[in-house]
Amino acid sequence: MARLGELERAVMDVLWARPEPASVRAVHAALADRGLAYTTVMTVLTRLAAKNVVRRERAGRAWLYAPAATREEYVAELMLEALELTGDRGSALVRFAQSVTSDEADALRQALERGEKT
Amino acid sequence: MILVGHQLAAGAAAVAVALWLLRSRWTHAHPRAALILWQITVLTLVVSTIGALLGFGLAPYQRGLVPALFDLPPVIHELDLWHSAAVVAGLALAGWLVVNQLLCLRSTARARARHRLLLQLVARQDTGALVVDHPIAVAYCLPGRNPRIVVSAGARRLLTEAELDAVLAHERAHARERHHLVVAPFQALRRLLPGSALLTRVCATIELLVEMCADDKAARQHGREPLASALERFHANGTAGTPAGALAVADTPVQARIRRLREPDRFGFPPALPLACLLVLTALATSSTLFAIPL
Repeated sequence: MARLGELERAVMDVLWARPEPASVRAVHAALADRGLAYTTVMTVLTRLAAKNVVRRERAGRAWLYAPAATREEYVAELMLEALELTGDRGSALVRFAQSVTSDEADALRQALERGEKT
Repeated sequence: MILVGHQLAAGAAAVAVALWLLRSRWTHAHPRAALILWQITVLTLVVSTIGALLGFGLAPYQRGLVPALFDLPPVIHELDLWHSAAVVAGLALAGWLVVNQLLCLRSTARARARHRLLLQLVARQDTGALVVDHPIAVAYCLPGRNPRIVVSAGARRLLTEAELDAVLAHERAHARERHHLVVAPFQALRRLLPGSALLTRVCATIELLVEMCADDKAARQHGREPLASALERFHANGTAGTPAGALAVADTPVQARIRRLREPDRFGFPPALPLACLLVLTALATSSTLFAIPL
């Protein structure tokens, strides 16, 4: 399970590093030094798409994959939740203490909204 | 009708204890005892309210509530409008409470799963915690079967090493003692009545007591001062940019926590505590017994 999580992370890093959507083959090639099977990479990408963190589109006979949001937007989403700034979802976490100025909170919200528009 | 009277008395006892708990200061010195008393009290209030409604509706049968309910379907036409309305209200309330708890559990589980996934993608593992690269200072625990302790890069910059250790110990206490399970039922209740100022206050009290439990645990491992100064830094950092007037709140939860760490209250259990425990336990026993007897 930990290995799968680590793979998901590595695949996301590959996708984030590319300006264009990537095929399974391209991601597999980028992770060549790990010696993964092609089908493993395909499974990981399918799982990530099912979890809505990766978008996929058809290009001819192959699927192309792209991140659904940038790394910064995901960080912003985590921080908004951690700061209990997202409606009533706050009960998901137990926090020590939080420290945020209203300017910082606005910046976080904007980071997320920018992502949703594009 | 005397059985309904018992239910009402049990409910009144629970309300009295809850009001006492809301006003008491000793709870900050003994957060664990206070939490347990809160749990029993709210449970009593819920059970006795449902018991009173069903008790009134089923009074003509002169039996325990559950046996009477089981025998009810064939003879339901014998009940007049008021009694059947009370039965329906009691059952609806009970069902509503259960369904709401389940819905809240599900939405929380989903939010946590999403949060866990994103952490896996963007956070990096460091000694004892996951680190999220963001300048805002925050530290928290994502509960679950494999709880995650998370700190932001901002929090690591804000705190000294000793303070950070104390904060991590605090979060581990949350995770190990499953504090989210203590808070969840109260938060679900609040979600039923989001406008209720009283429930909001009760929830805030419960959350504060839970924090104090974790503070105590961390203070036993790392001393009181690092934790107190960590809280102080968070507090000062967060309020620095808030507009004037927002600070006017006399005693924020964080300040209460800092104060009890710096000047630990030395007074023992208040004499009224055993009495309150006895009262509310008797009320709960009475109220729930009436669900089964008289047969």
